[in-house]
Amino acid sequence: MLFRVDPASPVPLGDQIAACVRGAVAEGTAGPGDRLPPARELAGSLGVNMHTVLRGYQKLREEGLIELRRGRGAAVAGGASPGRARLARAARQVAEEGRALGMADEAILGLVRAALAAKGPPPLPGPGDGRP
Amino acid sequence: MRVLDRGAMVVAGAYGLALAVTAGTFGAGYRWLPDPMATHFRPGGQADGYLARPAALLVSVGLLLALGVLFTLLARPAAGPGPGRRAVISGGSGTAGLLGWLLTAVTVVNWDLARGADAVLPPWQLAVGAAVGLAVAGAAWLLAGPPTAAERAETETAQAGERPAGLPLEPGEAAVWSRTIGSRPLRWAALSSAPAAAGCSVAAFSRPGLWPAAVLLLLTALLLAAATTVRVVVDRDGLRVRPLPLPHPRISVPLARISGASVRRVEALREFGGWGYRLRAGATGLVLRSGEALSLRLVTGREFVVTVDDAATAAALLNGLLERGGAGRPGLPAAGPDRPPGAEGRD
Repeated sequence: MLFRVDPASPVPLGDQIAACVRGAVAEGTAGPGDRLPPARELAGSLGVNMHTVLRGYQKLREEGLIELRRGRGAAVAGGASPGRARLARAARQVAEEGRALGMADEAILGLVRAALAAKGPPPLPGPGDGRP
Repeated sequence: MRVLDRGAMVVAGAYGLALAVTAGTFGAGYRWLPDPMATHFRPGGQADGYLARPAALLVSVGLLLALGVLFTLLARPAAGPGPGRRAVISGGSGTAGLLGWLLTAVTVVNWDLARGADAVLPPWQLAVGAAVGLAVAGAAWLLAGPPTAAERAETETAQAGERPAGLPLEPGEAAVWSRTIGSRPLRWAALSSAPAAAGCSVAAFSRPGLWPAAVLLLLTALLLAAATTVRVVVDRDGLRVRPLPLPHPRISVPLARISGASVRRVEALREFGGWGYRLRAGATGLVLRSGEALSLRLVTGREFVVTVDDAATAAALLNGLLERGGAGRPGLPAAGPDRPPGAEGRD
């Protein structure tokens, strides 16, 4: 697994670390069960704070891509797949672009809900339909 | 492609000869052998172990057959032209000479005896056996001949590997490659040594003389278990390999000692004579399996290999770090695994 961190980039370091793991899972170079390097060791190698690495790992855990177990370290989650990693990446992109446009979180979520509703079983909402 | 070439035929021939002499002597003098016959001797030469005649023949023939098949397989050309091939042929043939002599001598010293217990194998027979073994090994070395030009070329192509272009790195960018790799052969070795260690430890409670052996076996099992899975790390300091659960023992190759990195295939048995931490002329290797390996060319001219998947990425990163190092590494400390606290990252 390749980790690249550029302090000159505007992207937070923790996010950069998370993006590396996400990319490795998306490309298939890392699969379920593969162990991530211990946070302390990776932090030493990258020259960043250990908590920065842990913040990145925490984000990946929230996305369901890795599992964090006390004493056993971090490993790619059983349910992780290239597709799931790409989806997580797409979700981040949606969030970033929405924020960049100055949208409220609810409005961004509303967009996603609308997209889901468009895919769902067809309730066929008309123009004057009062449903949410 | 021929299944066996001259080199493999030399080994097979040596074992064939040893088998013919041993079994021939046994068969020719079968009537003169006591039953049971002496098959094991104290250092002084007096017999202290016995086998029925058919069993003794079976053990001798089985031993030579098994070793003959093993060494012929190791020496066959299809296993690849490793540099150790001539040594395998010579050593295998020498073993055939030593065993052939000793097994025949054991038969001969049993001749015309009423009881196997009267047999004496003079200790000088061991020296003669060793001399015969050395002579056969030398003859096999000459018969096998140096590797042909085609074999040398094949070895070189196999070991040259592919050198990926350096990963382009920004001046202040930090990059780390990290991966774990397990070894099935070492895992089996650890698993099979564990019962021996446990058994010996239990026995040591009633026979304290066994304690040193028990401790040694336990240490071996633990070391093997620790080495079955390792983590390979490439960063600005160079290459580091350590057992997965422990920080030590570790192997470090500083970036300053590396002149280039490439990817190649490694044959554990043929090239390094086995698995684990291997040393041989011109190369050092942590060989946990055969297959894809990261190969470092050191500034001393030696090679360091570690078998690991996705070695191309690791090699590209090392080459990238080397290229950036050549252009000066701004903002990086000269050495040491840890940066000063002031250099810690932000978020």
